[in-house]
Amino acid sequence: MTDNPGRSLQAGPEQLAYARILEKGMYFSLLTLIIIYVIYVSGLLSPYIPLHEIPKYWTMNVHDYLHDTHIRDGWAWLGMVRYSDFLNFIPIAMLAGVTILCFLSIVPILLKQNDRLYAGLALLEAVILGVAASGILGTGGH
Amino acid sequence: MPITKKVRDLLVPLSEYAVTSPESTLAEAVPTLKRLYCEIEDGKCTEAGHRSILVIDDAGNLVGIIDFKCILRVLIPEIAGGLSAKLEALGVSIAFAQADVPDLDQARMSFRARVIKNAETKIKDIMLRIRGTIHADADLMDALKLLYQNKITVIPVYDGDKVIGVLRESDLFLTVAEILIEA
Amino acid sequence: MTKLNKLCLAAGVCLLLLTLWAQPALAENAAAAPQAGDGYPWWVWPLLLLVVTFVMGIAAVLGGVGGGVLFVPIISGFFPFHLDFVRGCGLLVALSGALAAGPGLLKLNLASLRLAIPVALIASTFSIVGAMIGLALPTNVIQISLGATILGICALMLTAKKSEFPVVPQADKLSSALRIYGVYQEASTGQVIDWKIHRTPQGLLLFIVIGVMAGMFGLGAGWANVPVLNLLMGAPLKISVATSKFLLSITDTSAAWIYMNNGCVIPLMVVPSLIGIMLGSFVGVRLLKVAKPGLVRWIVIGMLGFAGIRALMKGLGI
Repeated sequence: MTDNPGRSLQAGPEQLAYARILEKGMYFSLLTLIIIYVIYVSGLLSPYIPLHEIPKYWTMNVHDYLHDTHIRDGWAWLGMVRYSDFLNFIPIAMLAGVTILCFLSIVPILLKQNDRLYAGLALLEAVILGVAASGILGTGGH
Repeated sequence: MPITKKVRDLLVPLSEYAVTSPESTLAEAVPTLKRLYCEIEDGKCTEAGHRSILVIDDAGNLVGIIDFKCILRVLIPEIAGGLSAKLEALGVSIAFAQADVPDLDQARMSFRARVIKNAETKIKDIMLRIRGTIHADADLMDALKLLYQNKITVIPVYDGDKVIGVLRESDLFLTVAEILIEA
Repeated sequence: MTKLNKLCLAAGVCLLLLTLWAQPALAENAAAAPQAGDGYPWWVWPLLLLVVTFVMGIAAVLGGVGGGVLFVPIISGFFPFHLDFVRGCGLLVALSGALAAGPGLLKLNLASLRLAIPVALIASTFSIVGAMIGLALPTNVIQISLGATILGICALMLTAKKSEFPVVPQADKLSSALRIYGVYQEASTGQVIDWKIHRTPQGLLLFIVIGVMAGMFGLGAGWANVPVLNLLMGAPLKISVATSKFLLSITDTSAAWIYMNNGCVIPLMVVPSLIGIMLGSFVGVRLLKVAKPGLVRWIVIGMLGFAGIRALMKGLGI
């Protein structure tokens, strides 16, 4: 065993906290994803694009797809969750968002350890991911 | 010697039993148990001593018990752990296999490596909860029934709300022996 | 040849023949796209995705190749889906795999959060850049670069060495300032050794490139993360592999959001692929316990190379 007290074989508190939130968030999102997918595919709730019409859309590029289906990009899907295909985006967004939650939650733990540099870095990472998630960054399109 | 013995007459007093706190680590608690189990400090281990440790918190309350099984179980979380531990181990194995180094994944760690890795594991994370207690003035029959109904081998004995000792399966056995030899 | 090897070889050959035979049919469908109904009912596609990704999951584990790097080339090469949707789906697949492994790797202290955070800052920022570039460039340009990149990845996988415990004479200034170090435990003896890294600035610069590529092509970047962390920066192989997988969860999160916000995610495709790869990985690990397949890696890299050539040809219009 090393004599340096700062180096332990066990993970630090911020790492364990990240892992715990990640685990809960990930399993919950996956479970929700499967349930909503079954609702979608079984037709329990009606989708915006009928299931048998999807194959004609996925061969076109995304710009034409959005144009032909009159779907607006960005967070517009939130307004359409009454359709079962857009309902699927909720658990997908959760899967993509759990990392942001993890980074935000380790900031106070890092501050408590007086590690202001890493607390700042974790916060910065959460901000970067948040900016990507927010849809502020548009694209040039094709 | 009275014909009817009570639990109070057979118990092992708390002062003679191994005790640890929930915040201590395996590295601190296991040598204590080993010393009492082996009964002598150096030389050959007699293996005739106590096989479990009581976990008592700062307030003096009995919060759990540690025996050989729960110490060994912590070494193989991927087999003996709960669903969460098993899934974690699976995820790790997949990650290493996908990187073309399956032989480096945690499942292949040696016995020695696992023990060293768990040296800092806290007792409170692995202790078993108490599944049965008995009062010092209770009858031996009550103790015997508790032992078998709750499937335990060690019963903490209370006097009022304080733990004063433990009654073990072996103590009841010794009483059986005593009765048969006397008869 | 062991039984498992024979089975894998047979499966690989069958798959190859099947795809070559199905090529004209799939190509026609792709060309006749705008008409509804390819002759196949809609549910054939999710089912096919489930089966193919299941096999892919097994192949990824047995072949020592990341699931994320197999998805985009093979699905875009042999399915009629447009590359935009395949990339969006691929990122989510790679992301889920990394999220699933994350808790275990962090709790067991195999992945180093301190090492991951600075790297992730760079990689995730530039994967956003890569995703935006990837959605702005015309498809055939992406196809050509994807093809070339995949062939490069195949070459890298065949030649890159691994160093279980690299020699790092001294930690460099940056890693010391960030306090990126830790303890490493030998799996066989339990001996505890300190590890540290060097050449941190160079490593971080390379992660710019890795981030852009991950975002642009929707590939998992494990094949690049591990050599940079292990061979360039000198982290032990175990720490590199674990930290790399954990890093993917952050890098792919940012790129996935860009693709999602641009409408490139079709749920009908995403869920069967996710389930397929996860189930395949579970089965793959079980198989791995039974036999060590020597030939599978060559077959998998071969298929990947084949997919890369197809992407090149598609992009060049051949």
